[in-house]
Amino acid sequence: MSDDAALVRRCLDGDRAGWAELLERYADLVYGVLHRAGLDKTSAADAFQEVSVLLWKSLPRLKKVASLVPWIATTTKRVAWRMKQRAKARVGRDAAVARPEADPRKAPDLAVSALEEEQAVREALATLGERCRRLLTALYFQDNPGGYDDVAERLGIPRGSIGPTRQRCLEGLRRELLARGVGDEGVSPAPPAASRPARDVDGRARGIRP
Amino acid sequence: MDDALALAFDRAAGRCDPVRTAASAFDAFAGRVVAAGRRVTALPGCPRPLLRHALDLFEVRAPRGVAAAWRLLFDSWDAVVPATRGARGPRFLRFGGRGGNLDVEVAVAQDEGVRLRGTVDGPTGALVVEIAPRRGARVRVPVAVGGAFEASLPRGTGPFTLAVCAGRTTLSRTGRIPPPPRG
Repeated sequence: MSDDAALVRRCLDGDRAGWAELLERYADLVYGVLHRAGLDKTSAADAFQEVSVLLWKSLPRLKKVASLVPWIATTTKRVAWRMKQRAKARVGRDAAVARPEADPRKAPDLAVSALEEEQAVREALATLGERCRRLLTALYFQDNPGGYDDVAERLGIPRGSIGPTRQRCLEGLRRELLARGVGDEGVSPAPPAASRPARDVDGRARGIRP
Repeated sequence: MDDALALAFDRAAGRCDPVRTAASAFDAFAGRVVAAGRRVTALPGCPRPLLRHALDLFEVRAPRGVAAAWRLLFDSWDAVVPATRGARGPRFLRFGGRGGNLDVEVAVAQDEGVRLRGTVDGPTGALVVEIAPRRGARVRVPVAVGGAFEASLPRGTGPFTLAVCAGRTTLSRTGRIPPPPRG
């Protein structure tokens, strides 16, 4: 049974902590999709609740799904679209409505596969722990990463320890990502099993070598 | 392999000259991961109050005689600074729990009473929404086929609760809702 399926089972068995874990795991994914859709904060809050309610109601038929990411991503996009349609209709009915329908700076929509990759990175970083998350984010995941001296100063770690720590964190990141189906085809050898199993819509390992 | 992995990430993040360092089999992988990581870092995290409301979706114990108590899941005023709410602005509330959810807009009516408009989602059949104010008589209004209902309370009835009923059975009840402030 996949990790997500086990979590869904726990929710259906009345385990409140399981529901909390499920929400924690996917809250940023949902909110990120709503943000990208250009919803303002109030509409995003409304839409977040709607997605949560839909997820809650759909748990019985999601108990055998290997990964919840495609369902959550698609459902959230649909809810965001509906929310925007409703806002448009409201504005059409009453031009004086002050609630903005959408943020014009909205980011382009992403395919579900790209959202799966983002979610895998989120989860992998969370699994690696705070030290690795901060270091890898500072080194690689910010648009204007500073030099190693800047990073060492910002994170309060000795300059000389960045190299070894980075190596350990990158290996951990790769291992966790491979376990989540984000593969590095053509590179060997295969990593040891990580804390969560590979996930795919159809339950197949995606992008992982045997 | 160790150096190759780090170098690939350095290249993907623009930390070293891609021309002067040898390409490796990790490059495509590092490129995808760095791109995804940057997209994630650029996004805002989910605000904690939203998570707390969603947590409340979990089952709650129902009072005697009521099939389910529906908890407040969303309050449009939660996200708004009190001074900017506007005394006459409508308030949107969502309640939910076992069996469904109820959205309601609470606003001041023209006669200074309370105007309620909303939808019931989940329960099926011939439904009635019963509004029980602290002062005055209960008001029962039918739920339309699409789930919509509309009701009003006279001025001065105080806080009220909403219940969704099917025949003589109360399917769910909300907590107490304060009347909207006037003028």
